Amino acid sequence: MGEKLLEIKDYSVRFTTDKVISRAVSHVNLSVDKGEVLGLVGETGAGKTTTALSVMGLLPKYAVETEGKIIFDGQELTGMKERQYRNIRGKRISMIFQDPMTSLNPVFRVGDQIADVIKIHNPKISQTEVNKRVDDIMRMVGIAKERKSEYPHQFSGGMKQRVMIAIAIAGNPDLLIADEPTTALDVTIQAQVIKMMRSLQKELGSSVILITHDLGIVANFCDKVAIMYAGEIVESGTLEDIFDKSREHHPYTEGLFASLPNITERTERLTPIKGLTPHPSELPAGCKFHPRCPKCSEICSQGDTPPQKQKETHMVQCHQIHEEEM
Amino acid sequence: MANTGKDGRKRMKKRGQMAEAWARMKTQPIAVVSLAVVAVLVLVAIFADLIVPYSKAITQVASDKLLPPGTAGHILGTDGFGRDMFARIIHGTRTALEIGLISAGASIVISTFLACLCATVGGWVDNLIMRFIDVVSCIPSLVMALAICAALGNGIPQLVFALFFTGLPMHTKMVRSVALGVAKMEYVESAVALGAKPGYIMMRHMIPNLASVIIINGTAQVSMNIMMGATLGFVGLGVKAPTPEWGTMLADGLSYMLRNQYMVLVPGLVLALAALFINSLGDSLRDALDPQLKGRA
Amino acid sequence: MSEKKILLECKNLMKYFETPRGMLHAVDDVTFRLEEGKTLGVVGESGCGKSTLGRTILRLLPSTGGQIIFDGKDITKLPDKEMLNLRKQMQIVFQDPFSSLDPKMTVSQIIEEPLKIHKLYNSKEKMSERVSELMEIVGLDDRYVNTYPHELDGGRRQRIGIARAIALNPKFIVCDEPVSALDVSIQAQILNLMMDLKEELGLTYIFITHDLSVVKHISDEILVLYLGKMVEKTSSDRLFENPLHPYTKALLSAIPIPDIAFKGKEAQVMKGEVTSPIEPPEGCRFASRCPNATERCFKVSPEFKEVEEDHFVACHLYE
Repeated sequence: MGEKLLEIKDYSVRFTTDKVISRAVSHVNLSVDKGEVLGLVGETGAGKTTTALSVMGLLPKYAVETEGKIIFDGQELTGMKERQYRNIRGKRISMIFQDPMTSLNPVFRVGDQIADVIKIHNPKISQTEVNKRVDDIMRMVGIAKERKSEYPHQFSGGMKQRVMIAIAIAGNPDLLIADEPTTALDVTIQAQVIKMMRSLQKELGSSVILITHDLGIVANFCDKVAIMYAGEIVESGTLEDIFDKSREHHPYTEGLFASLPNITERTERLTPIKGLTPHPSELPAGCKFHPRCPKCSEICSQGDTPPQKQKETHMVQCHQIHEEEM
Repeated sequence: MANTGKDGRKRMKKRGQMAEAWARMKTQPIAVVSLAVVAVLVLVAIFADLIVPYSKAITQVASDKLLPPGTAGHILGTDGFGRDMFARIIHGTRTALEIGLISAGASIVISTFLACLCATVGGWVDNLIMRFIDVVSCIPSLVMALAICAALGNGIPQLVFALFFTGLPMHTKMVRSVALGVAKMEYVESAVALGAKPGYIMMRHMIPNLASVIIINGTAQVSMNIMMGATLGFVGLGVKAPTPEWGTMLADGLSYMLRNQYMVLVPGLVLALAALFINSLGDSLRDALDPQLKGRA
Repeated sequence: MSEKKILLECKNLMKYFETPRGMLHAVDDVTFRLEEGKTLGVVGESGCGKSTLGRTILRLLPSTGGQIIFDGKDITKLPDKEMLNLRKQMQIVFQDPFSSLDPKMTVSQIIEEPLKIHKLYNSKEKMSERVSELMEIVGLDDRYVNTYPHELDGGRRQRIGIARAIALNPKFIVCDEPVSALDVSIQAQILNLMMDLKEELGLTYIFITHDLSVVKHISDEILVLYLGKMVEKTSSDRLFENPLHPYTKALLSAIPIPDIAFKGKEAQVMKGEVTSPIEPPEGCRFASRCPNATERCFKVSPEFKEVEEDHFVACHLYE
């Protein structure tokens, strides 16, 4: 086991709008080691992005209550002053957003946008040094350095996402959070970007939190996986723990796998999870998944969240699973 | 998915669009106040004759010149010709609303139609209309209104036409820019695929989704036209001489401004307040009519 | 009756757009036949002309050349008036469940719209009965009748779009990426619904998508497009078992497989990006990205022809 870089301890986020309380994230425990890739999997509204924004310290300032701790490299991020946070954001932790089309400033050349980040974090660096770094980074993300004087609109979607990644790694961060980085891209381009990110991660040795709904990408890229549902982590473990079909899994994880159209075998019908993800302001009592769960029994609809069953690295939060079977 | 509709679970309540809008509006104090003020303005305009006879607004009483506000029989005093200020303000409301509502209403209707035409038909129709609009909007609106009034002579109908025409270009441009976006939406395409005719699409899809820009611009135009009408009255064009009108009242008061401030203050204040509340009513109406803001109030 | 009825036939269908930089060949020379009750999957990446193809077939866009024959009738040049009547039989389901529903209309108003346009019912009760019936068919809870689309989630919105499309009892529906904006678990629900509807109502689909794994389940045949050109067409099973065109192969291998047995196995990553369909060069449009391209590929456009029984490919490798 490596050295812990990021630790999220019993962390919760509540939003209050018009007196309606939405529990976006509740009691999340996560950790990322140095050089490790964590996949954070879940559907719309599961709280993935809220968790990521919490780590970045970018949650909106009003109507938000948080609980718990986020510790990054020994420093507590929760409650840190904005001025100190700015030294961490971009330099030590940076984030790639889903939509590359709106995340780039259309009036500046891409090379300058990358250079800006380098200059912000290294104010004393010389211009020639900056240029060298920019060329270096562009090579790493697979853009010809001749294109640095072009503007964002001259780049295709896949290329823009590479620029975004270049900007994110320009500060040489220890932790990179990628929020659905390839969702807006075509499959063949997605494959290129994932391949590039993988070799990039090896080269830089940084840790990555990859937020995605695509289990295929997780299987390809991650070391550890956490499955989120309705603001909670319902299952987590190493890649093997989660993808080993012979083990017991959370019914939601099983549902996710079953709803994927499988290209390697032919099935007549898909087996979707019934029902819909609840809105964070109307979460059911007991296990948050019980109204949709095929294994649900009486105990599931009562009390608090189910206990977490742990076996080595594998955790499942479910009444129906027993530690000895895991 | 469970279909529980039949087992007695209640359907979500159905309320009319208007009831819905009112429910949202009620919760906003500014909206209620603006609505009340505008309602008062409209009532005053309609029932002006019941409040104070028209004759009082135009009869010049040589002996009662320049009475200060508070004088018995003349709450707001009299002007330089001895006419009752209160009566002139009340009947001026009617003039102002007539001018503002009719001219702005006409330019909104026509410009919305033109804008929808531009957005849905496009091509040379769009080009033709827009180039015409460009040419018209080259002329500063005040200059154009002045020119039209000067050419057509004084009188309310002429003034209304002048204001209608000057308001047209800006409206068409604004509504068109939004309409272009709406026309590209898939629900419009879907209506085409369902076999809907252009008129249906314009009435059912385009206009409801242009409502916010129409309302905001429309109310702004009403208050702008009231102001512009007053401006033209101020320079001696527009409304014919004895007709009570806020702008002419201001102009009349100008020569007495140093000693009888009330003669400028009263019409000026009324004008400013009317403009303010009509504008803020527009804002509130837009919010109230938007179902996407439902329940957020 | 062994002879199946052909519902839709496209012959050399073309759709070009004029742009400041030249002609954009969005759909170029597309020919296929679709039997009644079958589903044709149309697959390709963004910019390959798949959505344009769907809209051209429905005459939402005028075609530049070629023929569209629907139910034995050439509709390519049909006057608008007659087209209005025909629209009852052909419908579309859109990708974006947000922009395809008018935000100012309630659920019932949206589903009623087709019935009103074609004046099918003269009494209000009958109309709302039909709306309830349609909502039940697509699995929408009756209590949402008076809600607005923005109050509902993507899956429910897509059900509204489907209810609107089937309201007129059409024979044929173009589904333009109906599930790509939805979450995986909801995707499966909607796909199952669409397959059920096809059985129950005897529908014929053109199912447009960029996601090969989605199209596999629902399609009988799959047509792969690249920059407006047909590159491969065959039965769904065969396409996945034995893809022939290098582009199809690359598309298939690019799908990330949710199984760690495949981890570390470097997927065959295709170089380059989709080039512009504006004034495309002579020769095969895929040549610049193709791992097997020869000099000939850049000069001569390959013919789309049958290389095995019922398996069509446009590639010089199979000549």
